[in-house]
Amino acid sequence: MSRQRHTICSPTPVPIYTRFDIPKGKVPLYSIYSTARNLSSNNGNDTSDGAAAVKLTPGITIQTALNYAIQALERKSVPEPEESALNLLSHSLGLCWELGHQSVLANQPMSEEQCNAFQSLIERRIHLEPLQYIIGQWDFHDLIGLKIKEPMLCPRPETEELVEFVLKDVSELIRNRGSTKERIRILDVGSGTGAIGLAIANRYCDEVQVLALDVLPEAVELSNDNAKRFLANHIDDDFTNTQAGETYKMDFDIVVSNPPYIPSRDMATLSEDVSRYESDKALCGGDDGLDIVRHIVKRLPEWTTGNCWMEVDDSHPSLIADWLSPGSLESSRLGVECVSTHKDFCGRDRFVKLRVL
Amino acid sequence: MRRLVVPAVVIVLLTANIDQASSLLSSGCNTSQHRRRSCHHHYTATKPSTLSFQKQINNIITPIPRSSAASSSLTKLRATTKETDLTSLRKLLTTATSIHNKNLASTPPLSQISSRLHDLEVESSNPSFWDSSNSARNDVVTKEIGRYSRLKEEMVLWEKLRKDATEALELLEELMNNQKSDDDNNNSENDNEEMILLTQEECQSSAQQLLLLSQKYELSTLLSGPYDDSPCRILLTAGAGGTEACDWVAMLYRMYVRHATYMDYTIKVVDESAGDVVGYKSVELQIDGPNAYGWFKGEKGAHRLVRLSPFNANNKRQTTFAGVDVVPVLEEETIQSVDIPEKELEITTMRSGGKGGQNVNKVETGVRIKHLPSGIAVKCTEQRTQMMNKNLAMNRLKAQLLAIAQEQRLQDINAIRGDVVEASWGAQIRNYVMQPYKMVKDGRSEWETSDVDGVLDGGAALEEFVGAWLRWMRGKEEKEREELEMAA
Repeated sequence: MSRQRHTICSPTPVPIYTRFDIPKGKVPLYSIYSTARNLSSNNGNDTSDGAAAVKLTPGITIQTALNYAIQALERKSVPEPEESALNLLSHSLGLCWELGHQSVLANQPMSEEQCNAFQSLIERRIHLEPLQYIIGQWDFHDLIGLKIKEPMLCPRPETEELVEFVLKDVSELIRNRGSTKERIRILDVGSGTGAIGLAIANRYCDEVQVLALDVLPEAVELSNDNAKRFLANHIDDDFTNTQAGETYKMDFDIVVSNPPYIPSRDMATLSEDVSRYESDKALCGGDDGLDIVRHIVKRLPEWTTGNCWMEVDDSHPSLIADWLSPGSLESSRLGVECVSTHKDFCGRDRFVKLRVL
Repeated sequence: MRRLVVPAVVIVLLTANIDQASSLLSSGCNTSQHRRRSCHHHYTATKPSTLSFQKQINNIITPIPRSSAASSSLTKLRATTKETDLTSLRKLLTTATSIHNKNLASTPPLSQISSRLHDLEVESSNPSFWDSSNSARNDVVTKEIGRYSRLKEEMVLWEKLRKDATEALELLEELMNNQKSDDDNNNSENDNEEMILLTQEECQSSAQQLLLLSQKYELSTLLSGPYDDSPCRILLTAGAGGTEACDWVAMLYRMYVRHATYMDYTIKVVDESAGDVVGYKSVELQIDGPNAYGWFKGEKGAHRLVRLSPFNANNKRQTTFAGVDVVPVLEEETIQSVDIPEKELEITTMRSGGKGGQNVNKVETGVRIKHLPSGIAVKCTEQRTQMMNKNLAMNRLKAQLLAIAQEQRLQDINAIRGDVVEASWGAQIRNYVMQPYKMVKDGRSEWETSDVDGVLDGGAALEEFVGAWLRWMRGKEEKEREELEMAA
């Protein structure tokens, strides 16, 4: 492998790999690894944002391309470099990178289109674009391949736990309603991608009716897209108008929401891959993060006579439990009380269950 | 002349093998039927010496001169050889039929199997049977149909082989009697001789095949635990010892992959965690096939390797351990019956620190579940969503608890105690010594061999270890059952 020394020592930062002549065909992994390390130690701070940071030559093996990509991401301090590279590689190859296939795939050479595709994906990831936006979809709960588009919030794992809580309630309601075939009505406030409502409807498609609301027209469009994708025969096309929410009767059995809940003071601490791409409107909940929550609580009695499940910031459950504790002044004034709070799998306070009095 | 010699050699060798094989199985089985307390002696299986039949071969293969002058002595020798053949054939057939009878005693009669199969097939021919809502029952029935049809085929085959072998033996006896009377009258009929040889071969091959099939079936009935017929997951973990331990895991990985292929199971590598220099820190395999868990469950425990370590600066003789854990993959039906209260579980994710929730967008969704009373922890990182990981981890935890409860003969998974679990996982089950002498010894069944490379190649050598352990386990169980009955 030849290397033109003068470019490395030049005063202006030069992207390393474009000056690198990599011979066609399989390149032994070890030599690329060591050379890349050597070069990176020489050039700690370089590479302007505009230039390509990874260049893959057609014919290199899949394993090599993967290692190349992981190193490039690591150098740029991209969060989760290995998972990112793996997922983007699978996406560009159109294959699933399962461990069982690794040994078979690892030594296959990559074609030019594949190299270009992978390269551009890695490029986008280096700019800290969320994986879900780059790939365009992600799995959530039972929904395989939920479409996700900027700037709607990418569904978080904690929200799956929220869905599980609601599903438990729904199954109980189904058991208790007895022989009537009336559907359980559910309101999803702030649907974004439509994840929560669709996950519930997907599980109990014949027993529930879901109405989802959002302030962003793009979110409504995305939710409908996803609804068509997963529940093709069951959706009501009349949903495109956000005002339509007014014409539907409002006595829901369960209200669920993952409202924007990050307090303003925490907004600055968000990592770039969240703050730069995901919509502020979907993240920030005002000074203490409870603005939207308060709004929902205010309107809760007109929406339902049942329960409301919400995902909130880890500082909120204790605040809400105090504010709406059974018998308190606020609770009677608003007509809503806090039934319980729950932790998520990371051990943080995350969920609240409210009840309309 | 050569024609006579060859069959004789073949028969003698086979006879010796059969003796060897039957002494392992039949003697133990016979004793158990008499229910004597001292029968445990028969279960320490050691390899009989192979010198005896070599001597037998030397006795029989004597060069026989082709001359008419010696024809009378030749005829006499021929008669003796044939009679030895006949006796050995009779013996072979008796052994085969005795095992066959034992197998028949433990299987339902053929008519019952046929009627059950018929019922199952009627059920599965119902169009609504294949609905997705019926999938659990679907799986169960398909499995049952497979099992019963296999059993029926085997039993029919055994019957056929037994009939062929018995008839061939009778024909042979008749022919030999005719031959003998002809010889006495000094008539020689070469056609008869050929007939005899052919019949001999036929009888021998039928009897041999019957014996092999019956032994194989008997072995598979040793695998009769409730979860034995499930696929299993094998988890190999390197013990303390750094590079050497990681290399040992790689060796065991190779052994199990080769063994599973040899035994016609399908293997899938679920997870691999490479060691820093060489080998693996941990490997997880999934093995599918009939009786996969039953076969591999004896591998659970610590495997100890002693060798001159190529990774040690002074090339010292080093001892390393690798932990092997085998868990069945149970069906939904079985698992759903297990209910673990939330407070006994500690569920954590692999994401640590930070605020989580909307503040963070991470795709790593591994889940770790720990069962507090017993101390068992499982983790699952394979799936894309946290919920799927959690469900899989719960299923695996329940499967592991059920397997341990079954192993320790507990009524309820709540009775599993953490210290007992610890002890069973740390127990040294097999020693592999490569220097200064070569030996692999199983600490439980006392089976040993000096063919370390053969065992590590995962072929017949390892099969013998597993077989020996299975028989030892059955012996142990029968002994316990006897003691229980004696006490009652």
